[in-house]
Amino acid sequence: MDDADRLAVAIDHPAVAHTLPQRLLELAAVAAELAEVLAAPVLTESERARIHSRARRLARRRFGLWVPRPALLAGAAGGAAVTLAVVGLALLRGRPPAGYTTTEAVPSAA
Amino acid sequence: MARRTDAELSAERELITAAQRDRAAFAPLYERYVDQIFAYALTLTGDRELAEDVTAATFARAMEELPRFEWRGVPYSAWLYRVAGNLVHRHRRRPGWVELQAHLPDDAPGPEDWALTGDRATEVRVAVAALPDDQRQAVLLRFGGELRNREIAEIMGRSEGAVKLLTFRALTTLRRRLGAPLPAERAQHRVASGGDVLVPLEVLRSG
Repeated sequence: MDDADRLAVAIDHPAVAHTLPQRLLELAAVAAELAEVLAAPVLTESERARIHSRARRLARRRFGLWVPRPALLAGAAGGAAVTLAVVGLALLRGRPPAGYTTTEAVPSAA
Repeated sequence: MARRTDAELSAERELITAAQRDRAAFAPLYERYVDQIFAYALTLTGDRELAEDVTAATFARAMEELPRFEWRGVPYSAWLYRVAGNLVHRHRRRPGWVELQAHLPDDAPGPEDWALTGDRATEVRVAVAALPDDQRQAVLLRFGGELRNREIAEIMGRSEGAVKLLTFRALTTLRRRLGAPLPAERAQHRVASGGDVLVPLEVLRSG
């Protein structure tokens, strides 16, 4: 195991850091300091709010409207029902009135 | 350093599930990760305005993809970092695709301002900003994003061994630039300055 491996193990498991030689122990201390400094917030509240508002706008516009899955399923079911109704109506309208065959003329109201 | 426990990962999974049911529940995930993603985008681009645009586009994609997101047992941030990285690479190939918006003058501090404030955290950030690109990225994902080496390797498109080496080199450089005071020196510094932002070596020794 080389130095990079030993240091990686010590960073993941600080309990074994005491087994490190001094030079690696110092690097582990730098790692601990980095974890503390780099985890601190870097944005102001107004920046966070601005980015959030922009992300929501982009999500609606560029990447499409986000629709929850149940609404999507309900929409699909509704669409299918409407399609069936339209096809059914079209078939009924195309059929001649009861009592006449297709070869007989349908008497007009006049 | 802080590691994600199974309980924390499980809690994050629940947050994601809640956000998949109700978009309003995405807010905690945004609050948790927006600073990390912005810092990463800033590291990749070196431009605060572009970093803000990339961060917004990353979270827009996150909201869009949320219904299809599948939990894989790694922090949600790993996915966000990958999206942000892809957006930056795409911007480099096709500059201008990221929709820049008019930015008002910003009072937020940049690296130049950090250098003037003179505290230890600032000193650390300036030293990190001066690292070579790949080392800076590895350090930020490891210590800012609290990701594991294999997760970082996947994001950076490198091997796990390469990530370990990048981190090792970065820490060696930072040790040289920043120094790593011994416990006694830290105690003196604490007394002299009335406070100490450093993590003492004893913490590492005791685990």
